[in-house]
Amino acid sequence: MQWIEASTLDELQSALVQGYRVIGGGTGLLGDENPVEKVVDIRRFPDANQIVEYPSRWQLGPVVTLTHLQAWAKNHVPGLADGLNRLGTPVLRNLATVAGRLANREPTSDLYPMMRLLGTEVLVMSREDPQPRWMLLEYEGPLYGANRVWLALRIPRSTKRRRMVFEKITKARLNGSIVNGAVSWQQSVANGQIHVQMVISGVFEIPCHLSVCSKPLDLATKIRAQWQAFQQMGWVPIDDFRASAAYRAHVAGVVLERLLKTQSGFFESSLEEA
Amino acid sequence: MERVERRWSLSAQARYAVDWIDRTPGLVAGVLEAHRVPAVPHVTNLEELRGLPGIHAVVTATEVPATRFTTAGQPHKEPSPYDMAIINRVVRYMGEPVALIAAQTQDDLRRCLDRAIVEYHGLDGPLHASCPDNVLARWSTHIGESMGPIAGDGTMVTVQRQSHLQLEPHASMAMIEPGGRLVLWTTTQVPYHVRRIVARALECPASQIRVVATDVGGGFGSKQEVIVEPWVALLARLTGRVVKMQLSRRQEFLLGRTRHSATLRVASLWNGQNLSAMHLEVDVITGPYGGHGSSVAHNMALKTLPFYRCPRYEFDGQVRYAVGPVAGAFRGYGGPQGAMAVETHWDEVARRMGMDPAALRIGSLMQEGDPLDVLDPINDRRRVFRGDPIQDLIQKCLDAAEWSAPRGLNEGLGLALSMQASGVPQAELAMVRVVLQEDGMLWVTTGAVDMGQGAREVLRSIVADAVGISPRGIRIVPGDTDLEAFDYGTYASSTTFVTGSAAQKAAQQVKRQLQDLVDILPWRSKSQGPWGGYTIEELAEASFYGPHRRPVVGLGVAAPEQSPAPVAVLVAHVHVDSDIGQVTVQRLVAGVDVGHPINPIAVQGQIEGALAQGLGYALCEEVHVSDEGHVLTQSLRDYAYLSAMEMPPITVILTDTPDPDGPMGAKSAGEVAVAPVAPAIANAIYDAVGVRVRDLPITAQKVWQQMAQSQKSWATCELIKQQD
Ligand SMILES: Cc1cc2nc3c(=O)[nH]c(=O)nc-3n(C[C@H](O)[C@H](O)[C@H](O)COP(=O)(O)OP(=O)(O)OC[C@H]3O[C@@H](n4cnc5c(N)ncnc54)[C@H](O)[C@@H]3O)c2cc1C
Repeated sequence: MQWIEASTLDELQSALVQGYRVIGGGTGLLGDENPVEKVVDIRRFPDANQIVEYPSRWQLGPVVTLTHLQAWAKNHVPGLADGLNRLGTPVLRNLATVAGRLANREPTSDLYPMMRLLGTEVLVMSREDPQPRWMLLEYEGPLYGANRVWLALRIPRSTKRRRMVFEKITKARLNGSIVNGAVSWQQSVANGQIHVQMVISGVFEIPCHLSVCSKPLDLATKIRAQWQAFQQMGWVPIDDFRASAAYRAHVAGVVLERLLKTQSGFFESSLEEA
Repeated sequence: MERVERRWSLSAQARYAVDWIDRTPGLVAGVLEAHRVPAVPHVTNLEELRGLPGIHAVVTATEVPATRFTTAGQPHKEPSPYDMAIINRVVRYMGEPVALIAAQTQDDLRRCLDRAIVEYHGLDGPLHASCPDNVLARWSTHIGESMGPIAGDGTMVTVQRQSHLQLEPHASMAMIEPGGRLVLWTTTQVPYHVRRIVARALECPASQIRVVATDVGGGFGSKQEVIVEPWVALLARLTGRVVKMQLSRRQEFLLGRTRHSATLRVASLWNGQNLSAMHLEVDVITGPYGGHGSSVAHNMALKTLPFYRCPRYEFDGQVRYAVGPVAGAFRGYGGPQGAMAVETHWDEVARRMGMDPAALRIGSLMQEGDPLDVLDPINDRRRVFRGDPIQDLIQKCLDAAEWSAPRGLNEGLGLALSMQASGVPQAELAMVRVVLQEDGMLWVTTGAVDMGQGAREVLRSIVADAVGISPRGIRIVPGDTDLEAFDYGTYASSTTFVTGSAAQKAAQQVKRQLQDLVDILPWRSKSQGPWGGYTIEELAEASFYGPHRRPVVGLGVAAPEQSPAPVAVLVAHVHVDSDIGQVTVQRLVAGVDVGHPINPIAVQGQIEGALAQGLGYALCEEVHVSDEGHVLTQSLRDYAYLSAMEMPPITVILTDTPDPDGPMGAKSAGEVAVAPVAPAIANAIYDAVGVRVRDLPITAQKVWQQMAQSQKSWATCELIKQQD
C-alpha cells in the first residue's frame, strides 16, 4: 500500500487526481477484506485535529476523533456526548474520526442523525473543483465519493433553548444496529413556538427526517404527527436478516415516542426562565 | 498464583504462529474459493494461471492424493467419516478450495485469484453418494423399562450455528527439512492429531512429519480441526519451499467451523412429581462434511440426561449433511444444544405443575455415586458422579440471586444446570516428561498446548506441588511432536485432568529419584529442607557429574478410565423491555464444582469467559446462511457478538471438593459454564414477561413477536392490527 501525507491543498488535489483515498482513523478503510492501494493522510493540515470555537460556530478539523468530540461535547452539547458514548467502543472512538464516520456513509450510521440535527456543515473539496465549499451535511449529494475530501466540519453554536437526545437500539452493541434516532428541540424566543426535528436511521436505506412545529406542543399531537409522517415514508425499508422491516418500524416508533417523552418538561421551564 | 512466565511472554520472541509467519521468508498460500455448491468446478485457464509471474504452484483436485480423511482432531480411529480429500472434486461449501495456490507475494496471489476463471457443473441429489438421503447417522437408544408412552409434544427448540470468534485466525507454515521431513508450525490444539491426519492426507508415515504447535491465541475447539495444515503441507512438498498461510476473518467464517445447528425435542413422563422417563430427540446438521457430527450429537444427551434420576431414558437422533459451512468441535461440544432443550423443558414442566422450577429439579437430581453413562447399560457404573451435592450448589446460587425476593416490573430469574466431562471418557492418553537440567531447572515436556487457559500455570503448579520446589524453577515445553510427549491434545476439558495427571506421575518419579540421590550423597549436618541440606542446583550437578551420575528423568503416562463431571448451576436475572422485546441481563450467578480449583483466578477467568460465550449464543450470535449455502455474516460488522461493555455483573461461586482421581483433586473448568446460559436466559424471560422463546438466539424481535402473539402487550397488538 502506498501511504502519503498532504499538508497543502495543492498536494491534496494532486493526490486525489492520482486516485488516493483520504484516510481518517482507518477503522473502516483498512478493514480485512477492503484492500486499498493508495491512501493520503491529512493529519498535517493546519488545525487538522483541533476543535476551534468561533463566535457563531464550532469548527472541527478533518481528523478530530470521536473521543475528542465527545470530551468537547460534554460542556457544549451534552446530548451529543451521551450519544457518542454509545457509538462503538472506547478503542474505536479513540481511532475513528468524525469525518471518517460521516464520509463512510452507512444507512445505520449513529452519528449522522445527531450531526444532521445540529445543523452541521462540511467544507468539501473535490478532484474536479479545487475550491473548497461549505455544504449542509446531508445523507445524499455531492459530499460523498472517492474523489472528495472533507477539510473541516462546522456546527452552529447552540442556545440554551436547544436540546438534543439520541437513542440507539442494537442487536449487540458493536454491530447489528436496528434503529438509531435523534430528536432535537428548539424554541423560538420571538413566539415561544417549539420546533421538533427528528432523524431516524437504520430503518430505511436513507435516514428519514421528520419535523413538527407548534405551540404549545402537546405530546399526543407530536407523537401522532411524527408517527403518521413516518408511516407515509415512501422509501424501501432495510429488510435484512437481522431484524425485519416491520420490527424496525415498530422500534422506530417506540424510540421516537420515548425521546419525545423524556424531554416533555423541558420547554415549559426554559420559557419561564426567558 | 504468580504468573512466572510473564517476562517471557512479553518479550519479542516468536510465540504465535503468525509471529513465525511474519519472520520467515517464504511463499504465501491462497485458496481459490468455490462460489457455487454443490458442483464440480473446472478451472478453464489453469495453464495461464501457472504461467503468471510469481506463481509457484496451482493445484486442483485431480492432482492431490486420493486418500480421504477427516479434519476432526480426535484419536484414531475417529468416529467421523473419512469424507474429505485435500481438495475435493465436488465442492460442497462456499469458499471450499477449488485450487490451492503458492505465490511469491500477496500481490502475486491476488492477481492470480483475480484472473482465475472457474466453470461449475452444478449437482443435484445427495451431497455424498454414500449417503443417498444425506443422513450420515441415525440411532435410537432406549434404556430401562418402559412405563408407557410419553405423551405430548414436549419441548421443541432450535439452535443456531455459532462462530468460534477466536481472536487468532488459523495460521500454519510448512517447510521440508534437508533430510526430507516435513515441519509444520501451526496454531493447533491437537499437535499429534495434526501429525497423524496430515500424514494420512499426504500418504506418508507420521514420523516423517514434525508438528511444532505454537501458543494458541484462542481456540474454543476451532483448532481441534485440521484445516490449513494439509494445504500448506501439500504446497511445501510440491514447491520445496517454505509455504505459509493465515486465514482472514472472512475466511474464518467461510472455511472455519461452527457450532452445530440442530432441532431438539424433549418429552418426559411423570408419575405425580416423580420422573418416570425422559425422551430426547435430536436432528443435527453437520454441514457438508461429517467431522464431529455424531460425537457432538451424542453429547447433547450425555451432558444433560444423567442430571436427572429416571428409570428410563430414550435418545433418538440423526446427523444430516447439508450445504453451508462445516460444523465442528466447539467449547461445550453438544452441551449447549442439549441444555437448551432439557433445561427449557424442566422449566416448562415445573410451570405446568405449578411448581418452583428449582424445587422440581432438586427433587430429581443425580446424587453421589449415580451413573454418568446412562445410555450405556453394560458399563453404566464405570463412571459415576462424585462431587459437591448439586442441591447445595443450587441453593447457594438461588440465595445469591435472591430467587425468593419479589421481582421488579418485567424482571425475571431463570435457572439452568449443565455438566461436562474431564477429558473424553475412556479415550484419553497423555505422556509428560519431567527432566532435571544441569542448572537445576525442571523441564516439563508435554503435547498439550496453552491457548490462554493457563495450561502452563496449572502444569507448573502440579509439578511444583508433587516435587516440592518453587514454580519458578520449572519450565513448560509444550506442543512439539519431536519431543516425544504424546498427547491427544487440548480439548474436551482434558488438560488439567489428563495431562495434569501424567505430569503429576512424572513429577512423583522425579521426587523419588531426587530422594534416592540425596540418600547416596554424603550426609550433611545442617539437614534442613527437603533435600537433606542440598539445593536443587547441587543435586542437578551431582546427577550429571561426579561419582554418582544418574540423570533425573520422570515419564508420566495417563490413560484414565475416569472422567469426572464438573457441574455448573446458573441463575440469570433479566429485564425485558416490554415495548420492543429487548432483553437486558442484569446479573449472572454461577455456581461451579470443578473439584479442587488449583488456580482459582484462572478458573474464575474460564467461567467468566464461558458465560460470555454462552451469552452471545443466547442473545445474538448466529452464522446466517442463505438457502444456496452462502454465509451472510462474513465479517465482525455483520456477525453480532457481545463486547466486554455488554457483560452483566457476574458472581462466581466456586466449591472446593477435591476429586479422588484428579491431580491435586481437580476436575475440569474450561467448558462447563457455556451450556446453562441460554436456557437460564430463556427461563428468566418467561419469568419476566410470560413468553417462551425456544429458538436461539433470543433476539429482541423474537421476544417481541412472542409477546405480540400472547397478547401480553397492548401496544404491540395495536401495531400488528395496523400492519394487517
Ligand atoms: C469494531 C467496530 C465497531 C463500530 N461500531 C460503530 C458504531 O457503533 N456506530 C457507527 O456508526 N459506526 C461504527 N463503526 C464504524 C466506524 O465508525 C467506521 O469504521 C468509520 O469509518 C470510522 O472512521 P475512520 O476515521 O476510522 O474512517 P476511515 O476508515 O479512515 O475512513 C472511512 C471512509 O471515509 C473516508 N474518509 C475519511 N476521512 C475523510 C475525509 N476527511 N474526507 C473525505 N473522506 C474521508 C475514507 O476514504 C473511507 O472511505 C464501527 C467500526 C468498527 C471496526
